[in-house]
Amino acid sequence: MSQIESMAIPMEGKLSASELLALKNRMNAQALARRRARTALRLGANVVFAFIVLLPLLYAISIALMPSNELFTTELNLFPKHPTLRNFSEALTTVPLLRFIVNSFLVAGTITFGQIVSCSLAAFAFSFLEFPGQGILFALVMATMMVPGEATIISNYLTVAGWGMLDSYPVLIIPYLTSAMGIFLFRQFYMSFPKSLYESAKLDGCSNLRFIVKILIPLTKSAIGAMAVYTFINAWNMYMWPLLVTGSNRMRTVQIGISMLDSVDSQSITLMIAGVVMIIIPSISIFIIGQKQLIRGMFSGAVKG
Amino acid sequence: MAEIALRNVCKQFDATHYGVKDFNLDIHDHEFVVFVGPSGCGKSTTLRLIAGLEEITDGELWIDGNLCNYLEPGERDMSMVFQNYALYPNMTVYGNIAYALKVRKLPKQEIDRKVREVADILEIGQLLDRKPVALSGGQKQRVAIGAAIVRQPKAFLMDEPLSNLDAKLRGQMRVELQKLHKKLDTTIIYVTHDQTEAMTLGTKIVVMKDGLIQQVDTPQQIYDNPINKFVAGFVGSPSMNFIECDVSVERARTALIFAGTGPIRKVYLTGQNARRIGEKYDGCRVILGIRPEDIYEEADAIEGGFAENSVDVEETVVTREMLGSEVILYFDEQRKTCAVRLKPTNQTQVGEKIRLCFDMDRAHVFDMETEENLLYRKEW
Repeated sequence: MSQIESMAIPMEGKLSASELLALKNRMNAQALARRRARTALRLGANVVFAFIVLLPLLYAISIALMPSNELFTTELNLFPKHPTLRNFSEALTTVPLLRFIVNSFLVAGTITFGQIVSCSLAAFAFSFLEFPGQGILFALVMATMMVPGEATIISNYLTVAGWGMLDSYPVLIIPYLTSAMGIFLFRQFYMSFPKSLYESAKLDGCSNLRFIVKILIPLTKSAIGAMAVYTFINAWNMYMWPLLVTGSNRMRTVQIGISMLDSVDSQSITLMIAGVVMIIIPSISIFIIGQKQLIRGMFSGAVKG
Repeated sequence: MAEIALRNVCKQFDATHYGVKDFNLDIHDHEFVVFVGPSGCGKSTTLRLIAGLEEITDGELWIDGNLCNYLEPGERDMSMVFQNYALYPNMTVYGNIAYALKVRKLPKQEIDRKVREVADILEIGQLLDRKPVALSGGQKQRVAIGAAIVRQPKAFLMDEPLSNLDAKLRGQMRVELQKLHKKLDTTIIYVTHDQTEAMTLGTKIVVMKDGLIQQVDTPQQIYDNPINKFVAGFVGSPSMNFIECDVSVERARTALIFAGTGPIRKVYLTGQNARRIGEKYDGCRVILGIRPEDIYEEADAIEGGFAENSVDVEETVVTREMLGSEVILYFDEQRKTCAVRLKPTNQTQVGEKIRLCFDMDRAHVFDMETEENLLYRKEW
């Protein structure tokens, strides 16, 4: 039977029942094969692109496992010939990297928590409440985003130095407890929050705080997740401010620790990369944990849509 | 259970812009009050003023003899059903219904008893463990109503609760709301733009336009005795026909001569109406208002004994709607489309002429300028 005949709808009576069944099975198999091929193609393309995107990271891991003499050769050297973990142990002993990681976790964690609390409360006020001067106040908050951090960093330094706060956790954390960006993000998110839910809660006798805790936060988990990931990674990657205000190993954060691995008299790139690979792990794991929250849509069913 | 009184209540948005103006209304216990009007007439705003979701800019709101202007919404003991249901998506149906009681810190057993009682009334017992996302529109609406009635508030406020449902479901819910009102024996304030809903549900209807109350009355009165042209035109479907006429007293009778060129067509007012209009408005131009069902074909009019009140009223049919139990014919009069509702046996087709007779006992006459009903009967 030719292709064309098999594609046409079989007329009743022309084919027997068993022939019909065979035809049906064959067409089914064809369609399935086509679909599998399409899926495989898509998967293949994805793998290729993922590999390209991940290449720097993979290369970094590879370098971290290389003895330093293997890196400085004239030939292309993508994979370590004699993989070693010495870089990692050396990085950990050269500087107190573990202490730095703990510091960074503490600082970034507190900043993230603080920003979520302060920004969500401020955004709640800006989007759900009505008060005089609301527009101007919000414009002011937004205006602070126009001022680059570098412009204020010296005066901030002089201020905290004057207060004798240098080289402590508070000086690393307090200046970053809120952010205009966070307020803006949360506000945008709350603007799309159905107002009638707030009004309904008010009529139920719910206080503002209770509404935030019991209804707003559970329903905006995805925004909070996004915000948390963004803030945590930003705080984890802070460099200038910690460099300025910390002086002792007790208070330094990882990003500074990494630069400390590079000493003037030895090219210790493999050492540094090993450090980088280690400190990247928390950021990546935070992202992987937060990702679930980012994807989950929490709004379905709130209102008729 | 509540007596709600609004005294000169205003909602002013800015210097010249009013949402609601000088709103005066007494709502008694057990009443089903319906605010109805076109969109933007201030009906929802009024409801929100009563709920406390908007601030009253001027005037007083009294609930059970207490001035409530400055009470928080939660303290007014009202519950509201929103158009989009406003269910908390993170809670189950049970949680949604129980929430208001939880906030009020009732004992757990009592909450449970009440929630199950309400679920029984609304027949949503089997849905209690579901999240709102897993409910259909009608079910969501039931849950929203359940969440509103569970705490036995002083009054229910409903803001177009049925407008998101399809036509059939809307009809069902309308009947159920009526039953519910009887069963709960409580005050309901209901906002809708749908005049059918208003007519079928309300024991008292408040017709609004541009932030002003037009008329407050029973559905029957609103229909039969509208205070002005707006109310007359808003209630009823197809709406009332309006025809400009000149009043002319001929011997003992008061005739309304259709304005415009062409052959003279006129109708005679009857009884008291003839005297009231004839005395004051002889020679003036007025607007005649007549509902589609008060216009008859000649044979029926002769039978009813009012055929001689219409002289030479002959119209050309432009559209014909056969609805099964009735047929609606449309004709153009003074560049406006008018409608008549006739028996389904009428066979007049589009393009044909038909002689029409008005039942003038049921006609209304409106002032050209003020659009007031000149035949409005005040109750006392």
